[in-house]
Amino acid sequence: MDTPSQIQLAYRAYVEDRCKKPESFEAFSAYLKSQDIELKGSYHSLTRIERDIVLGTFTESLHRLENAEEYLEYSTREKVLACYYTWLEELGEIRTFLKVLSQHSMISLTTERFLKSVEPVFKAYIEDLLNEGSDTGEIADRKIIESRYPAVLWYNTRFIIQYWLHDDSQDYERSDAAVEKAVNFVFDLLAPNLLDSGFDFFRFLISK
Amino acid sequence: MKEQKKIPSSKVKRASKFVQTGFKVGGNYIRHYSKKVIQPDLDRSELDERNAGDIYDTLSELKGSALKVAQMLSMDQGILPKAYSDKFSQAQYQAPALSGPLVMKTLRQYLGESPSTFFDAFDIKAANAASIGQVHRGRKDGHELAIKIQYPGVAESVVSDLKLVRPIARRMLNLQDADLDMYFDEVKERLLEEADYELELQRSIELSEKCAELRDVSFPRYFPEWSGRRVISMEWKDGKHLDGFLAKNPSQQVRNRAGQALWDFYNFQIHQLQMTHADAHPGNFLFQENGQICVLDFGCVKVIPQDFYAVYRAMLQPETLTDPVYFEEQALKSGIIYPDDSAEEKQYFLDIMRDSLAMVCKPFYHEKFDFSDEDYFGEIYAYGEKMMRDPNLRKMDKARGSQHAIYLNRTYFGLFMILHKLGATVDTRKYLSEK
Repeated sequence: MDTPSQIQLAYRAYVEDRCKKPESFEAFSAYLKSQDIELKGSYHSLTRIERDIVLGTFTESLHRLENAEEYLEYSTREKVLACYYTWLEELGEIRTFLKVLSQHSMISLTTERFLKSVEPVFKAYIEDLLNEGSDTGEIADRKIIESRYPAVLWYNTRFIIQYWLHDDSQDYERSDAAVEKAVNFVFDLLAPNLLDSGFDFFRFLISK
Repeated sequence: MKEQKKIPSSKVKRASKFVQTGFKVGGNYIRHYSKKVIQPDLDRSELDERNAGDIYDTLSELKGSALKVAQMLSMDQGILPKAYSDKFSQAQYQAPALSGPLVMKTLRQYLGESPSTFFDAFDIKAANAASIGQVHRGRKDGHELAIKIQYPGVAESVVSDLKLVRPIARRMLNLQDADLDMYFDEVKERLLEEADYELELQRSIELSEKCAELRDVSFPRYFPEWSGRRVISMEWKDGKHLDGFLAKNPSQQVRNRAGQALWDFYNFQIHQLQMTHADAHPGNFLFQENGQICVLDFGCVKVIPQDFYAVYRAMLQPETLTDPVYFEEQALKSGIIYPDDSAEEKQYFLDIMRDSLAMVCKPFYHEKFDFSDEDYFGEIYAYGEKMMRDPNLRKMDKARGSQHAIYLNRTYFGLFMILHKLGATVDTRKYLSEK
């Protein structure tokens, strides 16, 4: 195991066992030393470790998706759904850790720093998917606002993670329903719909 | 992506329906009082009639569990308006379709493995919609399977739907909270049981074993080891649903055979087991070409308490109606009338009960009954419509009738509707003269 992964694991164990964060980065480095783990300059702040742990769950999800044979046959909408479900499963592994961290932050966890390193990776992934969706006609071609689509889906992601963190239903099944409904809603907006035919009609009327 | 296009009517939309009724009823009051200014001696009967009419119109437009509740509560009053029966087939909680990824996730969660490796074959496209989920086809170890998967969060949706319908039911039935709770708890309990697949699996196995001896009735085999909290695996059964079966113009003999099988299935459970499949909905049966039937879904089961069963059984016997003293005794026991009712009230409810029993129980009074009889069903509908608009019925302030009757009446009503559609002639005395 490489050093960063080792440090991430130690950090998770520390937080989960004590149900609180280390007082400071220095305090945690001292703890690492006591466990014979060397920092070797991999990290300089706790936030960085936290971000990498969350990012790790997302990249692992993408990896799992790529290896699932049914994934390739999914439509864009289904791929996004599969991505959320897989990611929530991965996040489930570190739920206790996230819950402890969220007690520490004043602002809501997801809008805050932990998802920050996921954001560019997620948006790049979504951009690829949306291009694919445009080619098949599943996503509407709307020149000006098209570039905002990944941002819309990122808001959606933050909503889902937030919902899941506060979900107390058995097996988090309300979160599953939330994913279904949120993704369907967003994709109904992104798919060619009334707006497009309305705009087309309007353009026709004024073009003479 | 067709399955995702079906967007269910939202809670907001359903709520607005109730609000509209509120406005209409409010409007009726305004109309009433403005008329009263001109005619001070105007009585309330016209107002009550209008309100009953508007509430009725709203309820017949509602779908989903709201309708189911309203329908069952009104059926319990011996009321079967025609508009309801048309919607009877849709009267259940309708969950939206599950997306492919959600199907995969749910199965992975409860089977511990991806369906593509767990099953030898699995079709990601749903074969059928169930009311609170959907059915997929699969194969494992040489068994052809129907795998039923439940939509997430159904139990909570059911509870919130019930909260929505409560105020309007209270208004419609004019009941005290405690009395209304008695009915509501019964409905809530059944609906929540329907969302409990572990209980359903257990009851499916129990009832299909107990009914194994019945002629012409079969059940799929269940696989508990391949099931979970929101997944049930059972043997895939071939056969046609009622409409498909009838489209092939089966002979009268075959129709009678199917009808008899259904009659025996229900009456055996009610009168021998005192525990019954309580969802006599055509979608829950498969019909074979020779008239044999297969029962698919034990989601809704009513266990009948002993003391209530005794009264219910008495009500089905023709002798009960001809003996006024015994009849009143039974009415008292079943909570249709109360010792402190005025003589007028007693008479009113006894009359309603006598009329509706004489009509609804007619099939039990004969050795054989021909369910194709249009006049008979027309009579029931007409009576139901009349009762629903009867302002006196809405003036009642007590619960009339046991909560246990709700699902039994619904079961018999559903059974009669299927038998009517089949046009079957059935030996109806069988389970009542025995025992």
